[in-house]
Amino acid sequence: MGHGNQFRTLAGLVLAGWAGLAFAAGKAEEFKYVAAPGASVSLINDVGQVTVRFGEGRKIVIRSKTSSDKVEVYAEQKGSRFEIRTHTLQPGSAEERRVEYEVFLPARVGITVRADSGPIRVKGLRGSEIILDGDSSPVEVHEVDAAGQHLHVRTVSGNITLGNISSAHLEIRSLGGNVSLEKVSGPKVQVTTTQGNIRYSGAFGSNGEYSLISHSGNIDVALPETASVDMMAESVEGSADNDFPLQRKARSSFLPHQGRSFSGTSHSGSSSVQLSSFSGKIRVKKQ
Amino acid sequence: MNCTEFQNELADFIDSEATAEAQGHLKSCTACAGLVADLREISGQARLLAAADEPGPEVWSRIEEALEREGLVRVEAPVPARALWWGAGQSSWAVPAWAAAVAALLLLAFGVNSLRQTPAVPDSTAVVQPAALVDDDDMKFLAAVEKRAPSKSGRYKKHMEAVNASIRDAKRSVEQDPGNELARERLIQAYDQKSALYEMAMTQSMQ
Repeated sequence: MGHGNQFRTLAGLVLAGWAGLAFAAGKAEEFKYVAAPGASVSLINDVGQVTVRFGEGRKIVIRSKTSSDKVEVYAEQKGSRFEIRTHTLQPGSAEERRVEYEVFLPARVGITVRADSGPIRVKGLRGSEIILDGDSSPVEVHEVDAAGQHLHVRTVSGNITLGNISSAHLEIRSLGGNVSLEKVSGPKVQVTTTQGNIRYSGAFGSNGEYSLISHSGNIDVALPETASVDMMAESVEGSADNDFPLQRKARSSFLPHQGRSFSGTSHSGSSSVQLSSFSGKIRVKKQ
Repeated sequence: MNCTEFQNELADFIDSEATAEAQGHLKSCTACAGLVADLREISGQARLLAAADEPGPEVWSRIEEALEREGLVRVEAPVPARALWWGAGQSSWAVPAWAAAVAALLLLAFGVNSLRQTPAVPDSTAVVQPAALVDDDDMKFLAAVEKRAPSKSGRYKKHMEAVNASIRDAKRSVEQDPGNELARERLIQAYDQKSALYEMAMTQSMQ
């Protein structure tokens, strides 16, 4: 056997050994369930990314990958509710406790995700009730047609990013994380932070109620000239600046104060928009 | 003029004429009048003391009474006269009279300074310290979180303080302007934030 062949054999053995080690370090699993509309999935994870995407047909598919044998994935079906949970078998580092999840969800199947410090990413769901608790996890939700369902997102300090979401009853809360919304609309949109900033970009839809409230965070709003809004804005100890054309309402109990509050309507005032901060800055401008 | 304001200006007129306003307060406040009388006596006595002179026992008694009246000292059981270092020539621990006078003045100065910070009479204009940002119920809750998830309790406490501050500020806004719809909504949301924090902390610490 020549030197070249010896080298190839050695390289092959090394690669096989490496792959074997990698396989032994973690475990990949797949769970599949047939779900009727109205079914729901509950997923609880500590560390690791959780991705939820739209899946065709009526099958819920959940793929998991652990990073060590110190954690395991526990899956159980209880009627039309599917519960997936990460169990810690032995204490370990964050990296050893990491479990990555990928979930494919059919239309009109609800999802609840509770994650401590892995990012949560949701994309393309249709008609699903969505509840996401992130603690320090950043949360991203994009391209969701909620069809009148609820989308609730909460974090303690994780940032929240929402984009292209329609027809949702939205309740977004963060204590210390920033919240960013782009092209988000629905019959009711409530965003509250204690210290985080709120940024909204979009037209506010029509016939909706929008409330963006922060205690000490800033609120930045950019809307197109075609937006039809009835807007009130106030910052008690901060500032409120408007650079968007609003008509003053003939009768209003809200008294504007230069630099601290303003109100007015644009076009027919179809959507009600309330912007409120105790000590942050409120800035409204035209896109 | 209240007691706090009077005592803030005390040093200015202890050896000189008091302002009309201060005189008016002295007439109506026996605590401050007694304090001024004691300070003036000590000030006068200190000037008269020679190196070998010692303050009479009545001076120390008046100092002790003034300090006790202000709650700065408690009267201990009487010490035998022989042990008193200011007793006439009886103890080898006797301290020169001028040092004794300085010590007395320092004690009274401390007393006056404490009084400046703590008004003798409750006063509606006195500064009220803000309530603690984490109350007893919150502390019990955080203690429970600490047991389950010690690495997270510090973070939750920080957020608890922030959310309690937001409730306090929102309440104040509503009190000042009850008809303000935005203020009322801020208060409702502030309470909801606190509720959400409780829920998330318990849920996360139980995982």
